[in-house]
Amino acid sequence: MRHRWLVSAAGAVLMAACADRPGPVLSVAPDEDVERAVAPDGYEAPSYASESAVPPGYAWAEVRSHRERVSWESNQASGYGSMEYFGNRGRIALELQILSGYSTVATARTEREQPDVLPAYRVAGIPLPYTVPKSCGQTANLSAVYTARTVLFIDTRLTEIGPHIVGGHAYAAQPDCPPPDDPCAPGDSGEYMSSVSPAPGAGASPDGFLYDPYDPGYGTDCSGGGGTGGTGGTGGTGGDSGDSGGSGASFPQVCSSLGGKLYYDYGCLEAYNTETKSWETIWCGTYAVCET
Amino acid sequence: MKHSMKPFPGALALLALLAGAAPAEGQGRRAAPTRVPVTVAVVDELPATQQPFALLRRPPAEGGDVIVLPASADADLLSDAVRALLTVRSHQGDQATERGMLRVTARTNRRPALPWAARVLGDLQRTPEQALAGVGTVRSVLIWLPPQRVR
Repeated sequence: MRHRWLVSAAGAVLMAACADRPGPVLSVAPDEDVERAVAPDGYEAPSYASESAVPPGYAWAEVRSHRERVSWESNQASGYGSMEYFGNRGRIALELQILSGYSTVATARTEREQPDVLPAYRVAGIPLPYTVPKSCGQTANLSAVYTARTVLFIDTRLTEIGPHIVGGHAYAAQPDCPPPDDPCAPGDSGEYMSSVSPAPGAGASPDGFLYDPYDPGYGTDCSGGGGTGGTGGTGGTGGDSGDSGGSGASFPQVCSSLGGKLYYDYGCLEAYNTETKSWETIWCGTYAVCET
Repeated sequence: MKHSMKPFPGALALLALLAGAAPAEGQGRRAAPTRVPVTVAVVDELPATQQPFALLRRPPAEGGDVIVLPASADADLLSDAVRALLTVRSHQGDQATERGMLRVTARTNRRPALPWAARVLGDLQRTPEQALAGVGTVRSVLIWLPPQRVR
């Protein structure tokens, strides 16, 4: 589900389109009158910042995503937000609030200037790491309110201009603790899945790196008992709905346990059509990839 | 709209790639692999799609994914191809449900070469040519990549 915010030169924010990702729905077609747009439940109405100090030819707006909570028991958390906007320049800020109960114990914030002159479609993804101070073996029961706040000024010279928040994530990352002897949760069957190199029976990778591309990751997994649900990510406005539980770990944890590392990027997926002999876009957006 | 591969010019045998192929042999069955395989092959001629490499998806029963590289490929190119495949898998799933040739565009930044890419390319150079169903007699190796979350 994607939202497109069209920002006029006067700073008015118009909602115009939705697309193909899960999340809150703005039930309006691209060409419909914006007055008929319906904001999803929990969506905070955007507030508009002063238009002072905005360069001529630019408008700016502040758009805040709806908030979602996630809890984790780990000693590290990280958030990730991204925003797409239509325009060729802008300034973006994202925030992650860490809560204990109803009290905010920490806020991670980052801001990025996008000075590049680019085609009208652009994503900025900003990681927001936050480490919960605690000792290994302890758990920290925290929750996070992820707020993708955009503070923008954007070039209004394009036809379609506006911030477009596509998602936020708050992950419980792999604890920075020594590996346990047996991380399988109670009720799980099997043994520790040792797919991280050195490969089983193969010794260290000849490269000296942790990841061995020839290792299929065989091992007895922990899935027999069903595992405990991992702490899922939260979806920001129009973003992912979060990791599903049941695998025993969150996606970042699974990725890390397999010797991979997570990174976020943006791109378009295109398929080659042999009939037209051309590439056709089948999807564009931000994504998380577990790479080696 | 149906998406499918275009034949490789001068390498029409690759058309058979779409006709299916047996999964690679020699993989153990101790337990289900936690990683997902992809065959990396080197060919003399790539599909005429103006792409530096070809990313072919096939269902597992038909042989699984194939990265087709030119003989001049370096570690950066293999890394780009691997990341493109991971991106495709993160969107479409680790197992292809239909055949097709795909690409990923508009990446924001070029990332450094994967640490093991040069090693795999070296192995490709030393591997004797063998029949790869649908591709022909080429040098190829099977590597394993982390599974991806399906969006």
